[in-house]
Amino acid sequence: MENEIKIQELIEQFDFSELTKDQKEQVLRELTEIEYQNLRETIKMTVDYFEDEPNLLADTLLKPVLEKEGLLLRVINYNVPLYKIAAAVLLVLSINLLIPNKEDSNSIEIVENVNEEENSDTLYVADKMLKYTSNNSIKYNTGLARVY
Amino acid sequence: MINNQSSDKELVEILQQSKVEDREKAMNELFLRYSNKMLEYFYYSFNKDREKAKDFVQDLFLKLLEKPESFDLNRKFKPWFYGVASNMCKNEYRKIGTKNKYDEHLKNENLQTTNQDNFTINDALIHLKQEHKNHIILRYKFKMSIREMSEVLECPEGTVKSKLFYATKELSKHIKR
Repeated sequence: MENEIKIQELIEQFDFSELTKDQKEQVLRELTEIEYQNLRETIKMTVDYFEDEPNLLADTLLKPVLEKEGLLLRVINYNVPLYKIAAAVLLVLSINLLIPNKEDSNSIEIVENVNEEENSDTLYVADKMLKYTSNNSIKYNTGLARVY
Repeated sequence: MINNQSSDKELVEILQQSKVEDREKAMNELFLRYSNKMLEYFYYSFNKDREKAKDFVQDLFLKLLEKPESFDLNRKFKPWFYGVASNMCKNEYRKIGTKNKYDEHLKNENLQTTNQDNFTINDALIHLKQEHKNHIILRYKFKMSIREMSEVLECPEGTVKSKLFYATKELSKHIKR
């Protein structure tokens, strides 16, 4: 890795011909002279490429806008920390436990006695048939007419 | 008082603490300073996809607006901001990674058939891994120093140089001379 770090520094700064004898030896342990020159050329081409490209301009519409909140919205959006909610619930529960329970044994329980009325939707009146007997005749009185 | 003389840190400090009006002014100034650079950064990172680059610029500034406290005032703003952008790219590449494996396969097939053609830097950049591309863009597009790059990428300077060496080698491989 040491060698690569050094070579990267050299490639960016010097042509192969500009290197000292020691530097050349160091480079040749990793690359050929042609490879070194190619890498150098690649860097030059890359820098030129980026310089020739047109500059981009960001549209101001891309800028996020800060929303100015009204008082009501601020109240609605107010974040209550969880520990505060937990503390409040605990407080309510402990108060509930401290207050004596009034529903003890002395209390009178009133039980309402509800009489269920017979409900019937329809009225059925039995048609009473009166029967009279005398001698051999049977007399029926249906209430409407007499048959002898 | 917010003006173009205010430092980046001062502006972020305002974003972290002040009233809505001041925050808006600070955001305007930061947008003015960094939006074009960030658009270009995303544009080249996403193979010249302008629409995607725009979306990412918007997301980046939204992150800054929503969580300005995520910036540590003891750090330098510029490398931190580029670092956030770099992580966004990394996440996006990871997200589309599976989908890209198939595209990559097609790309390699095309590469074999068009190997006789001269590859421009643009074509060669498309074929680089995200990490290598990131190094090339930061160094040769934005002309960052090795120290700045190490701050952006949060790794030692030696690692940056070494990765840059391999990135250049990879880029060179794709350029037919």
